[in-house]
Amino acid sequence: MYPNGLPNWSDADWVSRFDETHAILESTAMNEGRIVGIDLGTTNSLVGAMDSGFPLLFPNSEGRRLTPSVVAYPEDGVVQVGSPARRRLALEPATTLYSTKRFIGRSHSDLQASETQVRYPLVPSGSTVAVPVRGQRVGMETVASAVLSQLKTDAEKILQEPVSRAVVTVPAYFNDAQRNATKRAGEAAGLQVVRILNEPTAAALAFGVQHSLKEGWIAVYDLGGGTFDISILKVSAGVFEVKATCGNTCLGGDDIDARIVERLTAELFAQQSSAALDSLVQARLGEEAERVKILLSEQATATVQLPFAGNSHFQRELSRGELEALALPVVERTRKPCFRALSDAGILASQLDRLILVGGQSRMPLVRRLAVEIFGREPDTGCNPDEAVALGAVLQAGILEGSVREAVLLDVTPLSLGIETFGGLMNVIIPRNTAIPAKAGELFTNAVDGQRSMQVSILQGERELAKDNWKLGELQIGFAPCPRGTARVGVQFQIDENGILRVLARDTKTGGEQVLDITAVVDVEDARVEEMVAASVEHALEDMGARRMTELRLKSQHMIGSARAVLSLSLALLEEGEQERIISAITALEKACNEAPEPVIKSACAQLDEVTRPLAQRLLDAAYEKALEAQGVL
Amino acid sequence: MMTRDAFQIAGVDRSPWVDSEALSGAHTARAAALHPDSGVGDGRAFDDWNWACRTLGDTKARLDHLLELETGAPQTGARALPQQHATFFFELADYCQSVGALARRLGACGSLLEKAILATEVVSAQGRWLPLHSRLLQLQAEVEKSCLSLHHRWMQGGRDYTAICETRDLAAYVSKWAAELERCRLGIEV
Repeated sequence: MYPNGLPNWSDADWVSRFDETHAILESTAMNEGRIVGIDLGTTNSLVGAMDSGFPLLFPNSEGRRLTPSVVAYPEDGVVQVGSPARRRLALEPATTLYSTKRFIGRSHSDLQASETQVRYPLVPSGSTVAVPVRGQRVGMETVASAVLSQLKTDAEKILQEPVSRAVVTVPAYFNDAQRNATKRAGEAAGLQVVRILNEPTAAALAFGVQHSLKEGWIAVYDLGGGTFDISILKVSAGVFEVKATCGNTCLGGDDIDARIVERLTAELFAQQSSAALDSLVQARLGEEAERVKILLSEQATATVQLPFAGNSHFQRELSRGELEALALPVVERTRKPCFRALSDAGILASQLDRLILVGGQSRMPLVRRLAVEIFGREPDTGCNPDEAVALGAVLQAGILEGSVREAVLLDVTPLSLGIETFGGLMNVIIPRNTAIPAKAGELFTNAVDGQRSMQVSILQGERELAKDNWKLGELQIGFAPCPRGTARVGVQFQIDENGILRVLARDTKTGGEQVLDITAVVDVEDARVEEMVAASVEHALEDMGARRMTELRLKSQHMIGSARAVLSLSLALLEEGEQERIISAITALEKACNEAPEPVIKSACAQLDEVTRPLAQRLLDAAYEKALEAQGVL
Repeated sequence: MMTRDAFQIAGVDRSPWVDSEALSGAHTARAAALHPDSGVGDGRAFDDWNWACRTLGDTKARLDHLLELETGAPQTGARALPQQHATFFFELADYCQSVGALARRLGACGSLLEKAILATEVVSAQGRWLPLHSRLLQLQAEVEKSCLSLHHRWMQGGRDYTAICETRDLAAYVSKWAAELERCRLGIEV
């Protein structure tokens, strides 16, 4: 049954504990076939299934449980997935697609310019984004589907039976469009997605079952390659109840890699001013950045090596301290969601019984330190950050098959659902952190005589103004002709167990019922851009580059402005020679903005940030001291 | 759409006050039993149960629901500003508005230096937060107390809808501004 060796979960202790507490293990319902659990990650994916009561993760054909979420489209037309594709990253950057999970279910105009710093071009395609590959457009769902298809094949090889149903995990903070896209990707791979499961919830389930947790509060801090989630759960007698969830679907290890690449690119540029920093060198830099980052979680220093970069070899020692200085702004962004989740759950950090860290990026010592600082406690070990989510998906598959009982997940919807009302405001219909499945109704009427229909915008998000939230689509509500104010159409919004929205309308006068389709929003700008870039890939790259340059120049101007302002105000706080250093950094940045290419501006920006940091810290300290003095503490 | 009776679904007496601690204690086990994944679960009952617990657990929603059940009229529309606390609520609104603007400026900062420039303002806003918060907590306790006294009168057959409306209005203001104040706290956390 296991051609690739023993099942990975062979901890005998876990077997007995599992038996005691949670297990009533039965053979799977054969009539419907087995359900596999899949962790579809930004960087790596895993697949597994319940077997004789154990959650097992399957090795792929290379004998590894982690399959890189990379898909390559080589010239010969044979699509490659996983490690073979990963090896092509540095060779064919434009057609080897990685970290595509960041873009699934999102529209082109919704992407921040800084998010588009991947080594393949992105173009709008209807209401989503795609990558042009040899004259064709490859959508993000297609890429996800290729990965899922590979995992399905790997699972079938081990189970020696066809697999047609799966539980697939997604970041808890994914919205409706992103969940739907993931579900469709599964279907395209021949998998019926029986459940979309939130990643931190899955991790908590795996941890709770593994450690026979009976009571208590758990915080799951999940920092992966491209997404960040924080969930607060309450466990009682096998029930895992999510109380609050928060996060950022565009924050992860990739962003740290990007910062390292930025720094190295600037240095390469300085070293060989006319260096041809072509896309191949960029791609190799990206690989090298990730490798060194991982090494620095264990070691104090590591060497970046890039032979034959441009016209010479590039070699540089990177210390953990330097890496942490680069990573800090990224990691700091996880702080606020944590506070909000605690506040939403209505508990204090000191009330938590467990803190689990998942996602590969949580291995970084800096991330652990921040988590310790936020939650005021050491994280619990005994949870493999790469595998916890997948094991949870497998356990949930077991729950749905009926082979795992006495464990139930009660999950919530991460984002408030609402509709746009008069004045462009968002009217919340189902608030965030409501237990799912959930439903809520709203009554609509006609505003003028004989009105046949009305258009309603459906929104997801936490902002007051409709335009600041995510627009899921439009809804067309039909009325039977009648005098104004007399039509009565009840619209029911249902969020199912997968966090996916369904809308039903019922005309209470005629009794007619219908399922309403939400039509995706194709924004006009996308359509226009699409025309512009239809012919060539080069344009798409230039377009992104131009957007990034504009943002960069704007940021530089802000920094110069504030640096000047501080210099004119805080002369007393300046140290010997500091003023000169700051002024020269300002001058350098001004000069770079006028003529230099992107990496040089970035480096000048970073330089100004660096020389002003000590002064900024002194300013902050002074402000707090003054406040304490005023309160009479000092 | 038929009006569901949250009191009936939750199995408690209809009244302006419910024992929310007992209710939240019972919540999880029953929700798990009703969840569609539990085999015998039922999506509709699950949703009803969650809705009932949520409604009864929130003072303003509970009083709104009670009034709707009693009078048959959905409780929508503007709430009357509780007169004796008007100055306090105006003060709160001022504070939240200025902190909101400050938080937006903080959010737009690209470097530590830009944040440092705002430090004095942030520190002073943080200093003003606590007194407002404690005052709001006091009001919250006041609302709870008046719910309890309404409950006693209710149990003896007293139906003072005007008093219930007043308590409901105060509860509405308190919960709205508690949420705003919490948002302020998170917005200027450094």
